[in-house]
Amino acid sequence: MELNEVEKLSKELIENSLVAYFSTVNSDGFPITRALLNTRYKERYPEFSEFYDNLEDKYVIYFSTNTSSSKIEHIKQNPKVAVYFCDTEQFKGVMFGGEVEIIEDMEIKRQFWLERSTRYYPKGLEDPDYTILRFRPENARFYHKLSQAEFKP
Amino acid sequence: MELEEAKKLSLELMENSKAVYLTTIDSEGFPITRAMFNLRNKEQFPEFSEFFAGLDNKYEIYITTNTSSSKTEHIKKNPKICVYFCDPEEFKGVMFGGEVEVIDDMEKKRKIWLDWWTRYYFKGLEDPDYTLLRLKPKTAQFYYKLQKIQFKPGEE
Repeated sequence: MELNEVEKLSKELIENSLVAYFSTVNSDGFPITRALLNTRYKERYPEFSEFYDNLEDKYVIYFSTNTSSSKIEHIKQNPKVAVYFCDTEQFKGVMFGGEVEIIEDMEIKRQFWLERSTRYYPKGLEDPDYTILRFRPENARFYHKLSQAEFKP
Repeated sequence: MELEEAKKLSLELMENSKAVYLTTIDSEGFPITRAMFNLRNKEQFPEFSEFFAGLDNKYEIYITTNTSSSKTEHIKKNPKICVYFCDPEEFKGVMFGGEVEVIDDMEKKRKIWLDWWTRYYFKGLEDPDYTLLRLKPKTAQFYYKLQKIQFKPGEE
């Protein structure tokens, strides 16, 4: 498969997946995976698509999460993560690897704030339990059926 | 949510998920995640449901893979893995953690074999590239919307 095609299909997966599978490593050295809402999913988050379209880095992904969650505890000790998007019907997937950052910048936090976010962060935008993560992947692996291709995101 | 309810829903997820997400750790300490066949999915793999129903530990997980794959390489150096089953539409998921074993026992391998898998392992059941992995999970975390419940899999 051509690299252009791989990048195009990867982009489609990112923009059409409801969730991203987010893996961290805990203090005992075990990987921990869970599904997180994918803020790049256009159908669910049309509010963010302009922001993403204007980014220079086409593969950066932001996640919102509770500061009190186990993943934040893991990331503080070990920022190495994997983010995986998958279409199980088509046996298609793309995994990004790299280090994740915890974002304190209020402007970015505001960018990802929605009215309905109070469901998770009852005190609103300034809730100390509201955390934004930024992931700029360093490597990528695309899988389709039996073929696998690596690229630099 | 009650623990019993979480366990029941976890087993349902294991039997209905289209795929299982397997995470290993590479030699640089990065987690690596990919989807694998969920051999417990009753609809996709009815041939194995009797085998799984007969297990002493209901939470035992079997995964087949190529011996030459990166995950086999990772596991040899570091057997710590997790497997995750998920229903994203319902915001429901269950994750199991533990150390994975490579199963060499031919009798076990024969039980987890389908003829069409020669697509992946050309030489058939005895193909040295056919590897069977087993996880007897030590920990489990069940997620449903905003709730999270931990339990010890295999302990009643």
